[in-house]
Amino acid sequence: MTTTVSTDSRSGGPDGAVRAAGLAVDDLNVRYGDTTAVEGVSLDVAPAETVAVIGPSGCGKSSTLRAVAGLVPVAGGTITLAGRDVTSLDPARRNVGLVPQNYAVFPHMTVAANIAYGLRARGVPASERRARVGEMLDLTRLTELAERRPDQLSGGQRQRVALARALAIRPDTLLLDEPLAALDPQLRGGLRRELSGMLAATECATLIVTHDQREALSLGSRILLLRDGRPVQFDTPRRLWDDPADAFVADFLSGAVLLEAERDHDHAVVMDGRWRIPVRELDVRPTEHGSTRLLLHHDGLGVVDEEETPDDGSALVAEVEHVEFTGDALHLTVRAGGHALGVRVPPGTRVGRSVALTVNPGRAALLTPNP
Amino acid sequence: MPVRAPARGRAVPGPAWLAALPALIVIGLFSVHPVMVMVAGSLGVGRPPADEGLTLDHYTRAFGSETVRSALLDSVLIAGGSVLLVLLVAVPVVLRQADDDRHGRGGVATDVLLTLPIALPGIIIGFFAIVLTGRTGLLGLAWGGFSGLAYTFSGLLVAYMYFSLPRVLGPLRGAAATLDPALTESARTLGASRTRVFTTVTLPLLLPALIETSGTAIAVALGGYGTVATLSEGVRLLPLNVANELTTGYRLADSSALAVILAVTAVLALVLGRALSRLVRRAVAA
Repeated sequence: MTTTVSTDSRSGGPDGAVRAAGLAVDDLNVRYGDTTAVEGVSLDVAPAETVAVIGPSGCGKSSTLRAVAGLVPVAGGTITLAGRDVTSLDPARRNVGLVPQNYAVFPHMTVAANIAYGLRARGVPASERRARVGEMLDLTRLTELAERRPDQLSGGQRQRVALARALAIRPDTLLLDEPLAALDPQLRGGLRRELSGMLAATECATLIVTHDQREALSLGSRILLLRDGRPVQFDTPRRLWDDPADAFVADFLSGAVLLEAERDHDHAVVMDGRWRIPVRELDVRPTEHGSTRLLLHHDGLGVVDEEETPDDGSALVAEVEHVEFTGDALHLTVRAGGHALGVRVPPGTRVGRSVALTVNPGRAALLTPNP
Repeated sequence: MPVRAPARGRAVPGPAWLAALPALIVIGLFSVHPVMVMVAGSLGVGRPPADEGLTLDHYTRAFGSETVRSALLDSVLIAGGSVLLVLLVAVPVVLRQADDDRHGRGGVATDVLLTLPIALPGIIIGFFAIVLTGRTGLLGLAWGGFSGLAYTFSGLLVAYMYFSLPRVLGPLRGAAATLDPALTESARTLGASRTRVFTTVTLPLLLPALIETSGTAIAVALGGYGTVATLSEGVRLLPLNVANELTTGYRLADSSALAVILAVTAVLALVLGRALSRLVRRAVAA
């Protein structure tokens, strides 16, 4: 398994100084009885930065967030927040702002009382408290709704209450657990942009846990991908997209396919020689992760007519398993050489039981390790 | 054109009262009729010997009697006090149980032990009290102060706590299970101590259920006969007086009057619990 180092200057993440200000997790282990939920997870979040933790369900992302909040015991590793080791500190004394998946807005308090809750618990004087609540209502555009009860609010408004409540205490880190999962899919796009705007206005080190790739790509300035409780890759969205550590990363993040390849002079040879692609058709890029591989996103392949199929091996004949009409395109799932590939073609394309595929020039990448 | 599902082959449902009829018959037979007989008897318009003609004498005599008044007061104090004390035990237990249930922990043995008294007749609970805190009881051997406690006000209070425990635990457990753990977790991360979380989040949200459960449990405890019958040496509770009027001298009308007073007190506890719970729920959640 490939594990990328946490404080990595290449990936655009600041190092060293982060440990004094933001959030740092080192070699975290979380166990529930005999089950290991998180193993060897390391990450760091600088102030004003947003890091997304992503992975399929059960990958340990929520446990990582709960460990940072102090809601699950840590079996190993350290959690540092604003220079303090908080690994075994009581959740009430960590100074974290938590926005749970269902928002957990207190149903028996008004919006304003919800936002003031943490300030009251900390004994902030009334005048200061009112001023801070006012600021938070402003930031989350809830001023009009300050005296409303949670059952009179929409899902998006409740999310803003939870966010305002968490930010009111000026936390050292803001923790968002699946921030958009509880909302209508139609609303998510707008609310994602709205959330992104509000996060940009804070100086908090923000950690977002999500299973949604789009959320991670658009909200995270860096993304940590987990599988089975272990870290797979921690990098910027761009680099995860362009240079995935392995086939799982490519598939999970963008549905792309990553194939082992060999370079034979002017050709990239894939699938045991069944497919020979001229290198001039490919975007040749250096990779940080091991061997030579061919990266195919959905727009990397095209279907060619039978009579035009080149006979030099540069076309791959594949069985069509599934055709899906998505409005602006046909999405094909095809199988060749034991691999399932996704191909997006124009809606008018003739598709039979099998198709001949060639790479769209410049749209498929050949990742080659540095010598 | 309106789209209509084909009606073929579907039975036409009868009126709603038809479905409720069996229940109505049972309620009529076992509640309404006896209550009417009881009320009639207490007003002197029942069957012999309670047929001397319409009168409120039996009620004035009941409320005029020092024994009855103190029995009524003790009944209310024992039933109310034992249920309130049980709440102090029950709230931490149900919160713990809800937590265990969520994590798939929790033992059947504890559940059975805690809900066992609901299956036991009051007489058996009285017997337990005697075995433990009677004059030659087990605890009395350890410390003299426990000896004979069963027959005192405090002894009765403890016995009725045991009697009420499962009647409070059952409904409260359901209410505790509906509390979202994310609420208390959020409150904790916001900097609130465990005590503060309990008083500002857990308790307010649990309060309506606490009040309603108490009302019902107090109503049940008021009518409990077996326990006090077993331990009826010093403190007398109203159900004993009801039985006494019948067994000593068959004073049907006086007994009926006392029974009506007891029933009204119990119903009052129940209704008050419901009403207050609804009020608090509205105040807490609206």
